[in-house]
Amino acid sequence: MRQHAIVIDVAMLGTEAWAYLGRICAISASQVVVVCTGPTSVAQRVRGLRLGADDWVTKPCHPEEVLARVEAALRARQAGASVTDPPQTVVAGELEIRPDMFEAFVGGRALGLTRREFELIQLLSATEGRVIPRERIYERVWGYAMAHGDRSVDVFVRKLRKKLESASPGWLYLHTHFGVGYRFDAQEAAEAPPEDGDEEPPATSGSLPTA
Amino acid sequence: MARLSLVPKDREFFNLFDEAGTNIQHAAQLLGRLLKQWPDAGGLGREILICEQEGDRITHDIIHRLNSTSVTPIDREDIHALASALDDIVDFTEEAADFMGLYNIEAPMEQALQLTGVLEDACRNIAQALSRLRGFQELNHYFVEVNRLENEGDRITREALASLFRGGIDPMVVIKWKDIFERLEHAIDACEHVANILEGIVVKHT
Repeated sequence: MRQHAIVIDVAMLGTEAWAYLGRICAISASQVVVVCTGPTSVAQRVRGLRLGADDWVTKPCHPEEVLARVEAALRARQAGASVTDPPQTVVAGELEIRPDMFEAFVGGRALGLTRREFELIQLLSATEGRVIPRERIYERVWGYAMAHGDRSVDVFVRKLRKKLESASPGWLYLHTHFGVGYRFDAQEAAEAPPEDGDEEPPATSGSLPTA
Repeated sequence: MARLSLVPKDREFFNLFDEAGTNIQHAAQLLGRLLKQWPDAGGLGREILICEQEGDRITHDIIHRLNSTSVTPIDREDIHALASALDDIVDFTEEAADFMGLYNIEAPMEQALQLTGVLEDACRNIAQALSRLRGFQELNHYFVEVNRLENEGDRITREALASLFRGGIDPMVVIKWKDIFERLEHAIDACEHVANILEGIVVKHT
């Protein structure tokens, strides 16, 4: 699960409300920020939106309306991103990774990746040749810190390998670095050293200040 | 010296406890395989459910026999307590397996694999003790081992729970795994309860 939006009631933050809202909007450039708070003046709403909030909802309001506004702000953000940052296709060995399709292809045939599998191969291929630690992979793909002992990265690498081996049997793409993580590097199977596996051996209400 | 019994006693209870021992051991082994293979565990969850139903059947047979037998080889309350405690082991084992699917777990946790290893060892010791219960002799080392394994299970569970509450972890992961770790710990605790009941039975008969 990855966090895409933040809903804030600035009235809860007391005198620090504007400074906090400004900081949140600055450091959460990739996330939508929606303010949901009690009755306010026009000047307060204008100030909040100019600080970077994507939308402003006045209480009392229905939760469905808040959700719909968050979704609308996300759509607007995604539409903007798709125009400014066109996704780049990565080609490695027989593999073609297409971010615009959330899919990878071998000889024009789709591998049938789930979203998680796609995000994993996209991350690894973007740093081709470099070892990415498990914890870092988890943070980037799952959006949270990895719990100690969590085998999710290993399991998803295993699933990816299975699909890659089936579609492109003559190539190795994902390489294990025991105790560290994984590296993406397209190598012909005959040239590459054998992979032992993909898993570690068992071991672990306030008032809003005026604008 | 063993006491001489002057009245016939129904020895079928020992066969039923032997069956229960085999059943808990089988359920624990299946859970171990399910976790190792997760999420590609196939029909193992179904097999564990069948063990749980088999455990219910054995418990029912023991209670039914208890209610229809006048002279029992072990005190009636001990038979009842032992049957119930053995049923608890397989119930918690099945719950842990069920939660893996119910919570849509993506991948196993290392600590869960360790806990199922402890559970398998504890169940094996109990199964061996139950198969030798007829003689009431040389069983103490099984009880000592089950108690040691329960302490090991407690340690792993505490560390596993503590690791879930380090900052930044997905709250859904915390909620799901806290439940599963607790079920595994309950299953291991139930093994210790069985060992304690067996120890009491042995003391009364030696």
